[in-house]
Amino acid sequence: MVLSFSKRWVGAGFFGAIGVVVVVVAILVIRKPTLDMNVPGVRCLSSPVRIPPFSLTDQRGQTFNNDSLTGNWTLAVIGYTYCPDVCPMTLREISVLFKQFDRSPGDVKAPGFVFFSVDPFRDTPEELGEYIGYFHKDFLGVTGKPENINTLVTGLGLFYIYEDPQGVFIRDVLHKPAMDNYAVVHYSGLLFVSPRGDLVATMQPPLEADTVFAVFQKLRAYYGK
Amino acid sequence: MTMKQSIKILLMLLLSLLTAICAGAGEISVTNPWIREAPPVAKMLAAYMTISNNSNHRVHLESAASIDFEMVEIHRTVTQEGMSHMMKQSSLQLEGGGNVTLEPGGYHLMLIKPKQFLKAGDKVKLQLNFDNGEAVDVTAVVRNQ
Repeated sequence: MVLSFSKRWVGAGFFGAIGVVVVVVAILVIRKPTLDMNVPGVRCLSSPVRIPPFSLTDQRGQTFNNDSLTGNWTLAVIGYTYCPDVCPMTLREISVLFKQFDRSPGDVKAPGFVFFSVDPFRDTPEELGEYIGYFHKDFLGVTGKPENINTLVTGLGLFYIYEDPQGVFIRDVLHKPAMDNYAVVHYSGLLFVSPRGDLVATMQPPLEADTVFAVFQKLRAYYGK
Repeated sequence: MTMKQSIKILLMLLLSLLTAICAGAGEISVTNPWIREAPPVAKMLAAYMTISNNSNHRVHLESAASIDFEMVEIHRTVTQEGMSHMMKQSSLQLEGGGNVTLEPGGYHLMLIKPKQFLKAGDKVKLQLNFDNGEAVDVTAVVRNQ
């Protein structure tokens, strides 16, 4: 009798404890802010991608590495200055977005913007600087050794390849193609890098400044400033 | 005004009138031709426009040229699974009575190596050559867009 009484209490206590855990977990799950990003072309990574260690150089000759991506949000694209259509289209729209940041300083801290060249054989730091500076004075053009560029891009799970004028792919991106007029087939989405230096979302072109801003605000609210 | 000058002006007027008539008589018409202003250091620009085929048979744009550029090629940007691929086109097909719009992120004329920096407001002459024998002169406006 005494035994069954205590057994009953132990059972009740056990189920009670499970109940409390379930309720606590449920509250935590419900209270965790959700990232509701219902914007076409935007992909939020379910877990942020740690950017592999890399070291490149910006147009002023300063080292650009993982540390350069921490402490503030960074928007970035990969491309090349010989790109006639997609890169200028994206850069122009991002410059419109940054002019909005310039007009209302203090409202929202502007992120950094980086254009990673995947054509180190033709894009010299000087030309890259002139090219990117045309779109905005604060934009960075980053390049470096072919193998370091490749390490970064492939480490992000992205891709680029060269193509000759006849449309034949040149898989070796570590050496300068034999002809001058090659094209670069490249990932053309906008990258959102959190202040921790992790890739958290991507957005496909065509981009529109207001939409990019709205996406940026949501990511900032979710991942922190 | 001397006699010589008047004749010169008259001839020029006649010539421009003839050009206008010839252009209007063609099967092909082009609307809203423009070029995106690019950084002075840029080696490649792009021209956009809508090309209409007013005939009832298929016509192809076969080539284009401009004295302001070293070369002009017909290209198409195709973006698949995030990868942008610029594909050179041997020609651009226009169905009878149809039209094709060259626009950012799609078909465009790739303008290779500008001979000078082109800024918004500048006008660029392009010649489009079609397989029906027509050569259409187009004046594209550079826009900061």
